[in-house]
Amino acid sequence: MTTLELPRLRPVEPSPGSDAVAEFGTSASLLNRLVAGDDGALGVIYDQYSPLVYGLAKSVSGDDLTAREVTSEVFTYLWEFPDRVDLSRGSLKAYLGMIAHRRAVDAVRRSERRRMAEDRFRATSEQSSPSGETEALHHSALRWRKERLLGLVNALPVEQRDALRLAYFEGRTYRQVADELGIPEGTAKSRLRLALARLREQLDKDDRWAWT
Amino acid sequence: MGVDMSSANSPKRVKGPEVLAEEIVAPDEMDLVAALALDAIEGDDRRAAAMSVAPIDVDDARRVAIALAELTEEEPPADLRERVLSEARSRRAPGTPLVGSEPISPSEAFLATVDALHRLLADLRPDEWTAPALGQYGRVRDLIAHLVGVEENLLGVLGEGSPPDPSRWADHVQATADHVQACREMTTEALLERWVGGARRLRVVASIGSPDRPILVNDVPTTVRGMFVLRMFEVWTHHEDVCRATRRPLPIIDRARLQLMSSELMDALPAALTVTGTAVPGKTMEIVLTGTGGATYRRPMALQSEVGFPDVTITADIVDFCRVASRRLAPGALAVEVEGPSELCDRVLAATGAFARD
Repeated sequence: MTTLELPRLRPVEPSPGSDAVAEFGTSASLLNRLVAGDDGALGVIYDQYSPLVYGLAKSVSGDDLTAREVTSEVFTYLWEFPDRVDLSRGSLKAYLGMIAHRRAVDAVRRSERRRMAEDRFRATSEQSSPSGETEALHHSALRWRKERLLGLVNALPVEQRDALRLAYFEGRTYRQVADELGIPEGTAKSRLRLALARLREQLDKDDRWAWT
Repeated sequence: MGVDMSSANSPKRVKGPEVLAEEIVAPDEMDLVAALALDAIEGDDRRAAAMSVAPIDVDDARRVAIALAELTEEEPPADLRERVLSEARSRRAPGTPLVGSEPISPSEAFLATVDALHRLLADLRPDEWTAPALGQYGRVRDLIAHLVGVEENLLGVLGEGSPPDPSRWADHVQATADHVQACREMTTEALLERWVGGARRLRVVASIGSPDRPILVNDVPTTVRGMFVLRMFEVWTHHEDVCRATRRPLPIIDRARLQLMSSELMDALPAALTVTGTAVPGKTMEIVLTGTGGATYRRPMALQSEVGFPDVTITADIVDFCRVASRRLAPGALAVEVEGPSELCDRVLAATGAFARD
């Protein structure tokens, strides 16, 4: 079975509040500080979420320069428009991840650097990062969570996994997914839907609130 | 709210609000939801798709995508932190409070307001659906049936579906009486599906063509743009009605929508004074709205009159002022600070609700 080629696990400080309610309160407080012009709050948010934003942008673009630009855009945008975050629709983390992913795929599509992205992505995936893995051992809960996530993704039927990889981790449109996999566009969309549904089901079984 | 997309192709199930979104979305729409959540759709396709699905479904699917994003986490280069923070500080100096916000279009604002009420309704218990709401409608579910009628009547006006009964169209409440009656036996799930579907469809249909084209909303001549603002106002007002009926916390409306709603209200005040016969040509009012989204407005106290130095300055909370406009707060109950003749203030506040219809 082909496994999904994803970047190796990297150490990230676990977020201080795993409880969804506490996280909501913390995020709301930080956003209020941003509205008031407290750039210290932006630093706190950057420290907490920049690995997510930068890593996602780099995964999609395969390019450090684009990832830097996207990271800068995301946090600058948050600083300029903190009132655009609606915590009733999702967490601050989800908002930043959404903006980062969208800007990264837009950047990749705009600059037509897909081929370069593929090459760099592949190279990144094949690299080992022993120091990162060693450090990750100190964050066993987080590591378990990532391994579990990776396991869930790799447990998807191969056709769904391929569609998901192309669309989310490599920034393809569903039309491009269909083209690359040689399947009808409707089938590509359905595979994406089924992949998300299956992952959601498994994540819900793990812990409904741990991943929100 | 739980949405199991894997069963979107299976027959509809009814097991309470937890799966409501699934029930009201067709399989093709769930494909679009997944594509939107993964950003696998772009350009005009993205805009069209976003207008045809419920935002809460996309938010829900996006949570899975964000979980996947953790797999790619990577510490950024150390030098990036200071660069990012410096760039941010150059856009807005530290210590400078946010005074403006990114504007929101009336159609987006309408959809966001529909989405907010949708969330609340999807969470209601059966007994809350039958809680007494506005007197002229009866229960919460009847109020939502009224909204069904409003959306479907406006779709009819725009050429989709049956046009409203001309003899009753001018009366906002009577124009939807048949819809309220027809929806009495409907399940709450079906009722919610019909309202949200109609509202989403209205947004799509009305967004085709110029936003400045005229449209008659009951007895109020306006533009399509104005129609979206009126509808946002109404849906927000009824959202608060449902909250009061079910003893739930009132919704917090975001800055962008408050700015849009209040600025449009301020622009309508001269007309409101004129149609209520309380206009004072040659006089100028200054309204200072406080709170998130607040601003200061100077407007003439009559149509076709010029703005001059303020004859009266009225300071009030922005949300409460909007509640006066929707007749959910009596003018006399509004906490105000007045500089100038109180009689002018009374005229303004009495006219503020001129365009509320229920």
